[in-house]
Amino acid sequence: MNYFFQIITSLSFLALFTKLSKLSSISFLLLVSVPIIYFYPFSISTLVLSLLLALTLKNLLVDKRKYLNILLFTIILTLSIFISGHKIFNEIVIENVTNSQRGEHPNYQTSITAKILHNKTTTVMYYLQNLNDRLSISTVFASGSYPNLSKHLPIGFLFPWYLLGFLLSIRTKYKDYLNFVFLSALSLLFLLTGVLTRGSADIFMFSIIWFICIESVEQIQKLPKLVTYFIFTLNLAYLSIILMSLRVFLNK
Amino acid sequence: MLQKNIKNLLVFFVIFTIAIFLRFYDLSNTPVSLTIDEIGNGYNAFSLLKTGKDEWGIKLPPYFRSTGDYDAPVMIYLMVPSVWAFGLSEFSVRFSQALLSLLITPLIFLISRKYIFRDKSIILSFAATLFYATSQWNIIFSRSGFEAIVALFFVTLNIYFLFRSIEKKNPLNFYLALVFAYIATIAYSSNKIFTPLVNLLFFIINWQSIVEIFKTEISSKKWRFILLSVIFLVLAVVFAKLWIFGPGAVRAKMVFFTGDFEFKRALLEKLDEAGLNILGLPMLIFFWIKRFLEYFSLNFYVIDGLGLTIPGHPGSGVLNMALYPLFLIGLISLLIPGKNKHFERIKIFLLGWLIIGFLPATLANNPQHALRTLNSSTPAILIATLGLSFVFDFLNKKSRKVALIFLGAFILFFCLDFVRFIDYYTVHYPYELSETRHYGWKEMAIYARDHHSEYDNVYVDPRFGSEGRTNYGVPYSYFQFYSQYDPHTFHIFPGRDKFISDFENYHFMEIDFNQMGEIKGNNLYIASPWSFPDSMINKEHIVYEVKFLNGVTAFYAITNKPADQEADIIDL
Repeated sequence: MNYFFQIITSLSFLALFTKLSKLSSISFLLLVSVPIIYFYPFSISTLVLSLLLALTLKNLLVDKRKYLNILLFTIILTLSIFISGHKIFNEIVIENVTNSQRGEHPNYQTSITAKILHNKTTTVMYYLQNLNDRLSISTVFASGSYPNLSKHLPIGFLFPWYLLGFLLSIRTKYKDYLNFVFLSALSLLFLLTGVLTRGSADIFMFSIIWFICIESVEQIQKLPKLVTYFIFTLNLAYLSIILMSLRVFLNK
Repeated sequence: MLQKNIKNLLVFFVIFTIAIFLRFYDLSNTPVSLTIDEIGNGYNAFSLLKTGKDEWGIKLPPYFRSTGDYDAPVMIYLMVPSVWAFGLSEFSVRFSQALLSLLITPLIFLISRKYIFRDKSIILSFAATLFYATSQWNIIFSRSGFEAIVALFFVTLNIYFLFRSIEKKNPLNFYLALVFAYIATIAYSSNKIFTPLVNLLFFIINWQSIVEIFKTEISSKKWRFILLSVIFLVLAVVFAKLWIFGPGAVRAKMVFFTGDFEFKRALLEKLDEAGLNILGLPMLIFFWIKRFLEYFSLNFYVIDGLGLTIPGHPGSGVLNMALYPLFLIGLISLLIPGKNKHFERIKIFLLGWLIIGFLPATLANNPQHALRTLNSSTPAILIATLGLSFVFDFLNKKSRKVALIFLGAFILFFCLDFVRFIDYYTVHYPYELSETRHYGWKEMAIYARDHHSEYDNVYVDPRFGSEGRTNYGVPYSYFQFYSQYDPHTFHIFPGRDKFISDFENYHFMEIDFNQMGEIKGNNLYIASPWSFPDSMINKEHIVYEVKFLNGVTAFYAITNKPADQEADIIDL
């Protein structure tokens, strides 16, 4: 039941976005064919909030009515932090590794170098590792991180060719991307994705992924029609291959 | 003007001195222990010097059979002069790579100053040169016996002369570029893909200028053009015969990505079991895309790309952490269209150079391989420098003060992360991964050299590892290397023609005491603890013990006769 609700919610949101943004109907198909909708077991709050955050982030990038957008973004972000449970990543793991690496130094008990080099830097490295596991280009476009699928299955949250769409978006809109408010909002989402536990970080992580998806599709639909339809066919072929092999790679 | 030149020369001299220090300081001992490949290459160079033949008795081979993977020849031949000058030692084995890595430093400056950043301040070229001099990606491979750094030197020369041929409109520079491309291609497996493609990219981007040069060449020096074309054609055929279709391609075939453990075991076998073989090809394509995109992941650049620590421990990436954001900004700036036609071509070339540098590694097994992608280190540094220029200019337009604060913060962060890299390279790498550098074989080889005459036979088990006999080494090279065993005697040793590596009273074979029953004779057994029964691991039998640097026993030398002296145990 939850699964169907998830799909209906995603489709409705994306249809609304397509309508409001005056995108073509092929854009809607390009948006709603992404693997993330069908293979990721979203909780409804995560799905709704991440989509809302992505849409407001998109507004921050293009819309001139900034104050309203900032206010909207702040409200949804605060609500998301509250709902996500905001659990910070496990400090015991970090502490163990810090102590272990300090212990590898000669005279580690008195070595100031060991203390300075293996202190907060280890924590930062772990947060960066989290960020990499959740939002690296490879994760988003090629390997994903689906809790109920084998980690070896090379299926991204989005299609690999959507990366080209996103790069096109950067190429054409780089001046918009250099906007301070947008960059601050995006950095905040990245920060939360890195420092929170996986469960708590989902909303923020997926908001960035949805944003990339929307930007990418917007660029793809501007390509010649034949190319756009070809990409949609590629999407369907990719989905079919994954669906055909799905039973082999389901985690039991 | 003169004063300015002297000042520039002085800055370059300081950077060059830093590069010398980082490549040559304590070269014999850092990194710890020569690996099996280094030892094998060193002994082959020694053998060439003494006999003109490799360890298998083959005269001036075009590739080295070595331990069965047919090593590329360039590095081993370049090692001969240093073995002649310094004797067979750790230093002489590592000297040529460190020297070539050092010589790349002025080439980076020349490429930056004359071609990449020719319209910008000289400070940017100095910055790029400093980033190369202190590049952890290059330093670690310069200080150990890796063919990739040799290939990188020739590729950098190749690219420099390509640029120069366009600048001077001189075909001789172009011919020289091709010669260096040829050497680079046979110097390292990855370069069989990288070098032709990066040259092709250069030709495509600059085809008008190149056609122009050769029109003049054909009209004025027709015979030179024909003669050199024939020579290059013959060289190309020789290359294909020896290194593409011949045994020189063995290594490339061994590591091709269709044989990747993850692809075969976790994907292909499961699809086969379910009768879905038809999905093998699309899955291979998706798998390749995943491997390719992994080279743009943050962890490769800043967390553990260099593999200096065990899995799960943060370590050091291939780029300085302060450079990474600049690298990203530089990458993005490559996408942004500009008005300067020359620089637009440079941007395409830089992006292509980076991507083509990753290509060979994506076609091989193992994800995120810093060594196989070494060719990308130069464009990565140049792109990061471009990022630095982009950010500084952007801030400078807003406020000079803010730009200077950014620069100060960048320098501080850069220095701190460099110290962190040194810590990982000199403290944690030897401690956590001495096993992967085959630590312990040297110590055992030296012990055996001094004591083997006291025994009838010395048996050596090539399998070792701290958590089981997970590694299969080629220890005979260590025993030859550290006793400087006469290569000529080794060539003619009985059984050598049947690929047996035993010599004198040394026997290299798997040892399993539990299956060997009662052991007779006065023998010495050298093996990891996993090869001996508990009853033999005691002070009565152990005559020597070597521990990995993390304190786990690596090897025992055990005799079946009770020892009459205390075990000679290495203490940490």
